[in-house]
Amino acid sequence: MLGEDELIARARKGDREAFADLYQRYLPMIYAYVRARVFDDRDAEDLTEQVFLRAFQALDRYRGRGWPYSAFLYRVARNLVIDHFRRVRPTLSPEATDEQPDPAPSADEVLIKREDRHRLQQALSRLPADYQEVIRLRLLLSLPTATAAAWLGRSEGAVRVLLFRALKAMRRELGVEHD
Amino acid sequence: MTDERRRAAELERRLEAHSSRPASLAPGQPDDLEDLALRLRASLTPPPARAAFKASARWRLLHRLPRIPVHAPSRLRPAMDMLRRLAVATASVLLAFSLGTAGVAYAAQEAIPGDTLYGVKRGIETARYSLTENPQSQAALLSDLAAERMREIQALADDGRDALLAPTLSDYIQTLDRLQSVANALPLNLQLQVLAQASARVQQHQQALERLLGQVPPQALPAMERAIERTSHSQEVLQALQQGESPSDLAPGQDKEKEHGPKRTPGPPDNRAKP
Repeated sequence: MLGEDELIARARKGDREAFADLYQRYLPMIYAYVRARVFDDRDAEDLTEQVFLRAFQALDRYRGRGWPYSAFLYRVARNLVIDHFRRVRPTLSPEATDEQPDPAPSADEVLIKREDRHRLQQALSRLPADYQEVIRLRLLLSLPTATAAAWLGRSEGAVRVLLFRALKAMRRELGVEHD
Repeated sequence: MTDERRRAAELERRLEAHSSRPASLAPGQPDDLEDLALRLRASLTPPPARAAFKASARWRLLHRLPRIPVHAPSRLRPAMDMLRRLAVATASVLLAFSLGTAGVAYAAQEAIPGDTLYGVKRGIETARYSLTENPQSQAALLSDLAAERMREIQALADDGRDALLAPTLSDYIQTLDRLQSVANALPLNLQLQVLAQASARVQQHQQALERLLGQVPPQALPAMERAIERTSHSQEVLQALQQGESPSDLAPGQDKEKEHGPKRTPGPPDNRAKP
C-alpha cells in the first residue's frame, strides 16, 4: 500500500486514482466529523465529497509541513461546514441522530434516551467552539490524542487540558457543579 | 506538572482504559467527568456512512474530479519569485537613488511586509487615502488596498515568511472593515454600487485564502480563518443589501466560531450545532 506522501505526489501529477485512494483512506473520519455536525446523512455525504473536491483543487498549493494530510482535510471540512450553516439554518431534531437503537428497546427507553441525547447536544452547542471541537474529535470520533492535536494545531498536552476543561464546562452546562 | 495537567492526563488514562467498555450509563445527571465523557461518546457518536454511499463514493468522486490535470508546483517557482522580487527591489532601489523621492516611491510598490521599503509603501498609502476626500473614491482606494494586502499575503505564504502572515491578515481584515464603514456612510444606491464592485474581488480573495489553508503553518490558521470569515461576511452584507434588507444585524464575526467567546443563547432549534 502506498504511503500518504506518495499518493499526494501522484495525485499532483494528475493521477486521479491516487487521489481516489486518498479519498477512501480518509473518507470515514472526515465523514464522521461532518456527520457529527450536520446531523443529516445526505448533507454529510455531499459536504464530505465537496471536501475532497476542494482538496483536489488545492493539491498544487498543499504543503504538508510535517502535519498529516487528514489535518488539512479537517480544516477544509470545518470551513465547509461553517459555510453550510451560513446558507442553511441549522436544524436538529433528536430523531435525526437516533440511528443507533438498542435491540428492542421499549418506547419509554427510546424516549428517555432521545431526551438525554437532545439535552447533551444542546449543552454541547452552547460551549465555546474549541471545547466543542475537542469533544467531537476525542469523544465522538474517538480520535487518538495525537491526531486530534494535529488537527487542532495544538500540542498533545494542550489537547488533554482542553478536553478536561471542555468536560468541566459541559458539566456546568448540564447544571452539575463540582469542585 | 500542574494539578490541572495531571488531572487531564489521568482522565485520558481512564478514558483509554474504558475505550472498549460498552457505554451503558443510565440517562440522568452525569456527576463525573469520566462518566460524562462516556455518555457523550455513547449518545452523540455519529452513525457510520450509509453502505450505499460508501459503495459508490469512489466512483462518484472520480466522475466529479476536474478533468484538467493538476500541475505539480514548480520547485523553481519560489526561488524564481524570490529572485524576481530581489531583482525588482534592487533595480528599484538603484532607481530611487538616481531619481530621489519619486524613485523610492516606485521601489516601495513591490515591497511586502518585512522588506526595508515596506514602511515607505504604507506611508504612501496613508497619504493617498488622506488626500482622497470623495467617499466613493475612498471606497475604490480601500478596495485596491485590500487587493494589495491579499497579494502580500500570497507572497508571504509563497516565501514561507510565516511570522508576518498573521499581522498582514489582520491588516487585510481592517481594510475590509474600513471599506465597509465608508460604504455604510454612502446613500443606499451608491453603497450597493461600491459593494457590488468590491464583491467580485472579495470573492476571489476568499477563494485564494481557502487555497492557502494548506500552505500556511498551523499557528497562522486562526488568522486565516478570521480573514475567510470576514470575506464571507462582506458577501452576506452585499446579499442583504441587494435583497433590500438592512445589513445592520450582520455584525462582523456574528457567525464566527468564537474561541472562548460569549456563549450563544440557548434554545432549540436555532442554536443547536450552530458553528
